[in-house]
This record gives sequence, structure tokens and C-alpha cells, in this order.
Amino acid sequence: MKCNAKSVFVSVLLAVFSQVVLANSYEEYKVKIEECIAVEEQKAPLTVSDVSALSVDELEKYVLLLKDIRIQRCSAVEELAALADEISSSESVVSKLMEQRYLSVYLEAQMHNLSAEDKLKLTELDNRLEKKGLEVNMLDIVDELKNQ
Amino acid sequence: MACNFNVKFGSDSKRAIREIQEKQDMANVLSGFLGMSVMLDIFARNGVVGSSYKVVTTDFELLAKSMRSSNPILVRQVERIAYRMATHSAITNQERLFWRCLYNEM
Repeated sequence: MKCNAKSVFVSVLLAVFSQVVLANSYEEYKVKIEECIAVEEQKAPLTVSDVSALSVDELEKYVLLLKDIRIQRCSAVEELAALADEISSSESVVSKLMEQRYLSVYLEAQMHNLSAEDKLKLTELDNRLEKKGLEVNMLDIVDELKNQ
Repeated sequence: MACNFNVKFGSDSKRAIREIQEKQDMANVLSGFLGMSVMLDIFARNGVVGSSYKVVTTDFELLAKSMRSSNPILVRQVERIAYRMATHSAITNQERLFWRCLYNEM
């Protein structure tokens, strides 16, 4: 009886511990994302002249995607740790739910909609805008694009 | 930018709002975070469906704050939806203003 109580206590303790680890690793991921955004914000901001060859739709299709790709790359280590904790502590994983919590999963779904040509254009833009900060108000850029 | 105005949502805006709500619901399932009622308050208290809706700047501020405390991925996804809607041609100026206000707070 005493032995059973002890094993129940240990099980509960382990369950609580795994939840704490999960919460902490996701919190670390969130903090890292904020740091990555701050890094982007320190770069020279993207201006309308950098994207004058793009349409408003292309701005969404490529530049907004690129914006998330950069943050994902920068936070990849913390994201993997959080994702591993979450998967190991869950009985089942629903990818749609994970899309809301992890940039990699979200981006993977977004990339499925791109053609090979789109991906090539994305890579070209990625290289060309490497030194530009993408954490800017894109709607302001859209306004300027329309006024050109 | 002042975000105090009346807006009546058309079908495209309603669809986008539902998309945001679904994303929030899913994010909440895993995070266990229950403080997202702000979103429901903003979009449901006056009934989004069909009626003219009064929004104020603090609605957007509260929404952004609650989303950030939930998870930053959701914020970025909602920002993208707001961008898409703010640049959507088939909506009214008031709807466009609504989406712009939301985008600016994300």
C-alpha cells in the first residue's frame, strides 16, 4: 500500500515536471523570437525602392513569407527544443495545432503553396534583401508603392 | 492612428475574422491559455454578423496584448491576415480601416 502511494507520488511528480519543462522551453522560444525581431529591427529598414519591382500581392507572397523565414532561422534551436518537449509530452500531435505554435510548421504549410519558380524568386529576394530589416510596416510600403 | 469608428463587415471580412478565431481556438487548445476572451468580446459582443459594429482603439490594443501573451506565432499569422484584408480591393473603406488598425497593433 505504502509502495503504491509512493509510485503514484513519483508519477505525479514526473508529470508535473514534464509540464514545467514544456512550459519553460516554449517560453524560451517566445523570448528568442522577440530577440530575433529586435535583431531585424536593428538593420536598415526595408524601403519602397527595395521592392519597387514587386506588386502588392507579391509583397505578401514573398516578403511577408521571408519575414517569417528569417525569424524561424534565427530561433531554430529554441524552436526545436520546445517542439521536442511538446511532442514527447503529448500522446498525439495534430499538425494544424502545431501550425499555430511553431513557425517551422506554419512555414512548411505556406511553402507547399509555392511553385518551383516562386521558390526561386524567394531565394533571390532573400539574398538581395539580406541586409534589410523586414520588421517594418508593410502597409506603409504598399501605400508608397501605389503612389509611385 | 485613431481607431474609433463604426464598421459593418462584409462576407470577406467575416471570413477573415472566423479564420483568426479558429487560429486562436487552436492555439489555445495547446497552450491551455484561456485569456483570449478579448477576441471574442471584440468581434462578438455586438454581433459581427450583419450588424454595424463600433470599435475603439483600446479594442485593438487589448487584442494585441492578449495575443502576444498567448504566442508570438499567432500574432504574426493574424498580422498577415490583416495585411491581406487591408490590401483587399473588394471591401469598404471602413473595413479597410478596421484591418489596418488591427495590422498596426500586431
